[in-house]
Amino acid sequence: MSTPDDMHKQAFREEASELLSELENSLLELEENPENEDLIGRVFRAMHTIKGSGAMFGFDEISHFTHNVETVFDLVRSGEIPVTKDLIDLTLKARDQITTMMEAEMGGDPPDRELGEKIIAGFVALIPSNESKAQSGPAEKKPEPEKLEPRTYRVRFVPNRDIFKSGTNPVYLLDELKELGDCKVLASLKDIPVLSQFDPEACYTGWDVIITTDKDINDIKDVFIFVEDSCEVSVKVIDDPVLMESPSKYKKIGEILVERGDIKPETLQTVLEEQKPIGEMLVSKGLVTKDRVESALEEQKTVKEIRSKRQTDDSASTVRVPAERLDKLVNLVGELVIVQARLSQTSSVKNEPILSSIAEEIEHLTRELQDSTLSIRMLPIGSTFSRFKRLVRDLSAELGKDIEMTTDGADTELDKTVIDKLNDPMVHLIRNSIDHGIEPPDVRKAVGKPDKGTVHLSAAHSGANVLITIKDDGAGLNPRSIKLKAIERGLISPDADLPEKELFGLIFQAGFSTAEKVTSVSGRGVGMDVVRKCIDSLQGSIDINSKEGEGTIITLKLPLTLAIIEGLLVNIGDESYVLPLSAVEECVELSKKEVDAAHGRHIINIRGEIVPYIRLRDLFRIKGERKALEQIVIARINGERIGFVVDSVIGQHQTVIKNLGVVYRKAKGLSGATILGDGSVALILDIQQIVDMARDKEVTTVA
Amino acid sequence: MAATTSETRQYLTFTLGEELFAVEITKVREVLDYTKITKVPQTPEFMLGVINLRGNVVPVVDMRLKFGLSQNDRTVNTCIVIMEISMENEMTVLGALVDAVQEVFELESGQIEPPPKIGTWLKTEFMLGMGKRDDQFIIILDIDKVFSYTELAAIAAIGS
Amino acid sequence: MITFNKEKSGNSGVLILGGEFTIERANELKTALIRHLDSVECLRINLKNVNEIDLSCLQLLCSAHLTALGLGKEVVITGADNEVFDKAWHDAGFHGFCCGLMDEKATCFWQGGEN
Repeated sequence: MSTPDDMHKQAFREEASELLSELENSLLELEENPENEDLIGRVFRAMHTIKGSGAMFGFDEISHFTHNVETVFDLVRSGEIPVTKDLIDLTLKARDQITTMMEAEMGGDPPDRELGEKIIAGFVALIPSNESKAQSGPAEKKPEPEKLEPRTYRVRFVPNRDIFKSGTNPVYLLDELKELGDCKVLASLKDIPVLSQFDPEACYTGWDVIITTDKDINDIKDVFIFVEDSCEVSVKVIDDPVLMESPSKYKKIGEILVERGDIKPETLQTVLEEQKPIGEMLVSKGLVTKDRVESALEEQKTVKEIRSKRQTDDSASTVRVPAERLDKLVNLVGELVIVQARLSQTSSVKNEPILSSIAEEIEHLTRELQDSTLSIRMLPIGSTFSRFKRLVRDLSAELGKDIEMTTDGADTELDKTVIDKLNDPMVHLIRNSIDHGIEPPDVRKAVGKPDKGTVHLSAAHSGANVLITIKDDGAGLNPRSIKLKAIERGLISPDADLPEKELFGLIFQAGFSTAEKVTSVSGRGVGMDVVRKCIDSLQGSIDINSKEGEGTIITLKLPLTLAIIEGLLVNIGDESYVLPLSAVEECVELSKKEVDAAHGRHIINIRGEIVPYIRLRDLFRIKGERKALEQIVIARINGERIGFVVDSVIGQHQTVIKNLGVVYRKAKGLSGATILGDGSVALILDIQQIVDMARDKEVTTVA
Repeated sequence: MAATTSETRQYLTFTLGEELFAVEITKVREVLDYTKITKVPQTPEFMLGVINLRGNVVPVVDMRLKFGLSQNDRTVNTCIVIMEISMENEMTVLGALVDAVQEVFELESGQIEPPPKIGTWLKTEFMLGMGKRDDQFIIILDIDKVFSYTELAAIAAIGS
Repeated sequence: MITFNKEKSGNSGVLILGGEFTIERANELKTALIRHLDSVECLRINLKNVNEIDLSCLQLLCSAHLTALGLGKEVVITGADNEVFDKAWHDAGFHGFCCGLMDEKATCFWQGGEN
């Protein structure tokens, strides 16, 4: 259905949106380190790529818009324009404008043209007017860089297999390279397969180019600017140019062998040193002279060094894989875990030593496979953190507050799905800190705090969980006003005597908002209850700590992954259910005697503490008789202990979570299903929702 | 629509009591023997629950109950027809519990009568038409309509 | 245009390529190479009438050579003095590697520098 053109456009959009978010980060970092050339270079390259690829795929408006930004950053790069806050502001605006333009291309709202022109005017004003070249062209050469001594570089360029499909001809890039200086282009053909396995649209060729040029290394890299993300490109200086300039036939042979992968550099080296190999064979056949072999050996050494360096570079390289493929893999591993459980079960019944040892081995391997598969989905939370930098920057400016955001633990890894879903609640919490938490500068000064407020984000691992904290040094929560408001909203009764912590927890209840003034920042009609819902859906919990006048700390506790759950397997009637183990604190028995002692109220006395419980059998209307001796699973939900009555507790069960699908989307109290060792399906309970359901029911039965 | 072009299609027939039903074979993925079904609490009776289909959780609908017939005892012939339904613009796999699966047979579109306006106990919107096989009427089901989201996900309302 | 003439002996044949060989025709070329390499022991590929050739097709010629080596057959390029081909071959940096195709005495990549 989609034409190749569409595919290219789609690819461009994806690439561009990635570039744009990277650009934002670079800009924000640049604001803090205005001298950092690497960052300036990154901004320039991002703009250059967007402009170039934009034009290539017919996004002329975007390309045109980006042109001036690129021009300015080229001048920044050459030190003619300094990095100022205004420049960063303007560039951030430009970045947003490009984003809007991109969205418009995808069918979104059209961009504000006037704003776009204003931004362009801003950039044009920055370009020194007497510089005629600034008007004429952007990326053209910087003002005469001092002439460099000609140096020799080795450029390795291995295009992506699909490079033809993106409309790029790698040979043109080589031609461009040739314009920079004297080039020796050597193709690497080791990846070319036999005809039967040959994909006519794939590029199997890679190149090593030895180039001698007086141009800067960046000029060489710029040739590959459009492809550097998808292709392997490395540029290395070869320090002894003389060696490279005396090409001889077998210098290439040596290389070829290494390139082919038939011979490792080391092997070639050893072979050459030890016995008569290719070199001597060639000599004996009179095809070459000995000194030439020596020279080849010399180069071999150089190549070897370069290779080994390059190998370390390669090991850090990454592969881009569609998320759905990963999901598929995770699912398959999930299947494997289930089958493996069955195998273990069978082997323990059969009690055959050989079978048992195989089963054990499989168990071990499966566990390892599972761990590494899940780790593929793990991403550092840092990218989310840096996204908030912009939020803090813009919001504080809007509210006239001076706020700095600091982070730590940005490299803490979390499942991609968790990270994706975490964005909204985090935005909400940070907005809240900035809007209601941190005081305006004059107020802060009056109470003896530094003018500048701080929002600190941190992430850290804690067992199978990740703790994310949002800490501000603002005014903190006022327990009295929370209580008054909660009473006013009918959330608690006026005579309720709640500990401070529970009072704070009320702000996450539906219908509660501490904002007395509605600002554009927080007055969006959504309360903090959205945050709680979201965290609940992630199987996480929220803890809130605050001291009036000193600040607030909100801690989110989240599971590392959503794909797998440590569960507690229980039975009710004929069915099995799984409760998330993370919330479970203990299991106790519920005898008939105790039920009678409570006179119809659903409470149990555990070591002097009164704990309410919910009969899952009743709530789910499961048919059959209650057992004489039931079990209560005690879980902690939002700091409260609540019991869930089941027939029996079977034990711990690590399992892959399966979606219940469209049909059961509205089913309440369930977060999914899992497949047990015997192949049957067990439902996973959403205990938070069950508590809510039970509460609703109580309300209706009372009324 | 179907009457204008004459094309032959294959149908799978199954029975519920005395009635013979047919669904287009392209909708059918496979036929399974009866297996243990896990009930999802607080859902309508005809939603029997979910089964494990090679690692996927698949909902199963009791066709008798769905069509307002009385529930039958399971027999050796009872089976689950796994079908692919487009629901809410998504392909969903769903199982239909039926009394017995009969056969696969071909019908030309010309042989299919439009559903009668009156005199049927089944909602006419569930039918694509009526066919005939050895003097017995076959109800050809519009399975996407039978298993539409609104039909099945009345769930929440009943649950609470 | 791709034409194929088999010699009477049946052991060798000439594949004459004419026109533009770019990625649009890569699949056609691949099919022809497979088919004709299959039918003879020695395949001569004549490039005299090629007036454009890009990387995708150059790769294919190499692959044909590699395939032939694997089968114990021979592929020889003729008419390689064609300017267009010569330029493409050099621009892509294939010279010096796959020249075994054109000159049996030269070093060929696939033959591991034996000759």
